[in-house]
Amino acid sequence: MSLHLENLTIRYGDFVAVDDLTVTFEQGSVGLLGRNGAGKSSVLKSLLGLVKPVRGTVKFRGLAQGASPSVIREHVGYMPERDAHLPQATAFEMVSMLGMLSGLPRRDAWRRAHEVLYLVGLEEQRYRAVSGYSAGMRQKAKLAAALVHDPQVLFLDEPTNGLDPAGRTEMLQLVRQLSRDLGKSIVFSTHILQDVEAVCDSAVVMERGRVAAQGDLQSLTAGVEREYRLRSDPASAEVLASLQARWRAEALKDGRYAVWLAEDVETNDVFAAVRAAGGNVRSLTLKRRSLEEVFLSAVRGDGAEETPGPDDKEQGS
Amino acid sequence: MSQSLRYRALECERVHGLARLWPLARQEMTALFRTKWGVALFFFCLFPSLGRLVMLMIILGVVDFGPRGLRGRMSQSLPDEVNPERVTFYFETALSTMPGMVFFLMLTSVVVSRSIARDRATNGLELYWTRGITPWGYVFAKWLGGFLLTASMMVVMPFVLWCAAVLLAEDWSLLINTAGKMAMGLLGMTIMTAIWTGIGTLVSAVASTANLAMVLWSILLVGSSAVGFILSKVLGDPELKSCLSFWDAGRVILRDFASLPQRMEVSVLGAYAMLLSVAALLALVAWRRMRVVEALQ
Repeated sequence: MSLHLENLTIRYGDFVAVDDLTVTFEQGSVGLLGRNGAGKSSVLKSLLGLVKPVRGTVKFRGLAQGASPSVIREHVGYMPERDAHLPQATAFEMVSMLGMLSGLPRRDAWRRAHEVLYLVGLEEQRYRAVSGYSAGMRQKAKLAAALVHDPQVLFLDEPTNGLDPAGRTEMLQLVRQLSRDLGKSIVFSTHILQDVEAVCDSAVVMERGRVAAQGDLQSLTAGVEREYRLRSDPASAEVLASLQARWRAEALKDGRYAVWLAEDVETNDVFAAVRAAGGNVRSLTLKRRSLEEVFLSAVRGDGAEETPGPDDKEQGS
Repeated sequence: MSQSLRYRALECERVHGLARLWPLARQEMTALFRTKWGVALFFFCLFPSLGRLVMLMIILGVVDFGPRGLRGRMSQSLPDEVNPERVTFYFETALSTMPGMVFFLMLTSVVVSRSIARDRATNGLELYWTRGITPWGYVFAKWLGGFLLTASMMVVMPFVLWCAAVLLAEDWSLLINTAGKMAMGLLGMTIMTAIWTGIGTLVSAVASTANLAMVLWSILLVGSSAVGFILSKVLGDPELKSCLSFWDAGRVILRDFASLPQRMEVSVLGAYAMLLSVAALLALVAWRRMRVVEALQ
């Protein structure tokens, strides 16, 4: 199932949260990127039928035009960003209850609750109260609740929030499996670009209620340079000249250089360029990934761009 | 984490309407019994009715106390409140300020007044409203659960008491004499319980925390009774009590509904006006507080 928003405008009083937005979320997993207040949550709410746009339409391909919000929500699973659970309830009770509220008969809701809790890895803990869960387990319980009624589309709002590195990896792996192995369409709202790179096939970058960039990740990052930090010994003018002869490069403090490399350039080439100028590479670290560049260039002009600061740059260089 | 993805597609007929809301109502109704303190509270709240059952057994001669028998003493010119031949006997426990209101307050402040505010505190509203139910469907289910539990104390116990009296009586005259009024009384009690729990549920929808909801509900119930009592005394107008006291207004309406004698000069119209005004005002505020956007902010 794919979703299409056309000329969508959402206002809260005088504040325009989404401004004449036209975007299509195709089958697969789509990253919805944007800074806080960019309009991501408003888009999700309108997709769920919770917020009525002042203008524009939301179309679910596969559902009748003008389907009621409750019908839409039967085909959509939503995992909220905030910590949310039902008071006193165990994970099994919470997930089965939410399944029944989605229209599942009790027997089916119970069966599904067991299945999805097993799926997310909470099978051993399902009879414990959710209020006593760790942050990671609560995220998994919310994901199970979003899946219980077998929706075709999943809206995941910051699913890796508050997770430790291991928990984050597990969550991303699970989301990837849901999309690739089970064929769920996923709209993955986040501001963590690495998560999008790990999970999504395409991305929509929002800024001030509008689409700033969109497309599949490959085409979005094609031709976009990655920024590296390089430390050379010695840091000489020859090294800088050698780098600048090949790529865009700047000298920073303490013998460091900022080097921007295209996607197809290998880091071995940088080592070779430094060696050719009589230097040795002490360190070479990725400062900014290509998707980050896409994101920042999309929202550029709002003070979001991160360039080497005045104290970072070498005096007089 | 997910081991192998043993995921099966769901194939079932979806349920709609009340069938979808019933699990939520049932959960609300049984929430009190999840802890031993909740179970203890519920049975504690049944004590007045159980006490009345013992009284009934004494009056009807099932239990005989003392050398001369208590029955003989009690059967002489019994007032309506303790006379099983009068319908008032069965509702007195539930309708009296003490212990009726106190036990009603204990039960409803734990169950009804906390119901929605508790969900708001854990962001449960966000989970509920992204399902196939409406906010007012959710409020209805919460009210239904609280109402059914409260009705078990306010409506079922008087009915059980009356059934016991009918079965323990020497002949069917008690049944014949009280059945009509009892039916109306039970209906009136059901309606009043529905209104009281409805207002309690709206208080819960308005309050930001469960504890605040409990306090507001207690103030509404006890505070209005105190204000009504004091002002009716100071101004010398007994009718004021039924127009200002939340609890007394309900009592007046029930007595009027079941054609039971009113204890003092009362204003039935004023009681209706008071309860409906409170309900309308709370519904208006709740309507703003229960907007979906508010829950998702």
